Amino acid sequence: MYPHERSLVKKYSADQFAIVGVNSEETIEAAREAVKKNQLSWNNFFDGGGTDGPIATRWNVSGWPTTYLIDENGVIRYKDVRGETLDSALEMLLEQWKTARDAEAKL
Amino acid sequence: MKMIQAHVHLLPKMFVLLCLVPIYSFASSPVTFDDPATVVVTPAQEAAAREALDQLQDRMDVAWNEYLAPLQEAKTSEERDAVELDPEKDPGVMFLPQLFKFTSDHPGTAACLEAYSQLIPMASRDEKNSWILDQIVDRIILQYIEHPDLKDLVRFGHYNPPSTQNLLLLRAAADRSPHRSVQGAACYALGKLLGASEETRVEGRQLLERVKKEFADVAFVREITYGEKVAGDLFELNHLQVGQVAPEIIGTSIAGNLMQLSAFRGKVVLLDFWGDW
Repeated sequence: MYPHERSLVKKYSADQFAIVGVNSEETIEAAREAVKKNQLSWNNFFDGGGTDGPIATRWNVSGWPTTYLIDENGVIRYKDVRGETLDSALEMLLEQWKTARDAEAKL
Repeated sequence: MKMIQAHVHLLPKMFVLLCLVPIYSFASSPVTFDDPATVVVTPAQEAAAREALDQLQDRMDVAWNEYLAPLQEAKTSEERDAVELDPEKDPGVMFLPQLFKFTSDHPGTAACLEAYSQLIPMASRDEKNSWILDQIVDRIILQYIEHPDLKDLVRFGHYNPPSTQNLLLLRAAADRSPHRSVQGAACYALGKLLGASEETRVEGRQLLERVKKEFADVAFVREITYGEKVAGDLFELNHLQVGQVAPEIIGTSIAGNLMQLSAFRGKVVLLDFWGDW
């Protein structure tokens, strides 16, 4: 997953796409170490330590990784898409993002 | 060719099973198929079944360790992703005939019920084993519908695919078990399975609401009750579906700063729950 995520962050500009992690490591030191080791350049919540932290509990996460793809309006559009499915879903949402920006520019 | 081999391999076992069923029902007369809960298993039969299952389990453990060794040896997540396991050698496939034979040989024992917990996911993996799943579900309903340990079998029923057989089994356990713990566990697993797809979501939600009302005090795992468990599932069904606005997350970043999800509004966001283990 990490190499794929790193390539997505590289491929798309920061104003159109962001990865937001929620980390369930036991300690914040372990979380920082994992970020360093896997060269994750994006923002991460630390979920208080362990897999039953407040964010994962509220989002009812029972498997890791669990992912949500959220569009520019904050709407959940896909759950747990990976690989090529993730790539094409992302392409589609960014196309929508661009269309919205173009429309704004015309106003 | 492989498929034919598998079937040929199972044929003698099926024959054994067909012979066993009538003997079994006449042996402890007046037991009939309508009154299966009175099947008597002697302590000696139970002990023999336990021993046979333990031996089979040891062989399966060895096979799993061998099969998964390349994953254990991988040092980084990249190396792990690159490991390709041969699905033909998967113990979950290889041991299906032996485990099925075990259950045919030891009907009515507690060990056999345990084996069924493992068999269901194994038989659910491939459409060609659908006939085995039919048999398994029929036999569980026949022999164990009133057994309190049926809870251990239905508890994680939502991790199996929503096949006709799996749904039939969960419905039977929810409706016909005399034990609240089994009813609650079955109701929950059924609600999760049906809630997961759009066509059956309404019934799924009703079942989970029923768990909340009637079975909130039943234990799920460790100290967690079904009441606590189902609260999360209902939140997911009601607020975390495709098409809904993602709930706000306010928390602390790994760097120690205050952070909120809505600050990323205006961008496409991949929200990733992860852990490096």
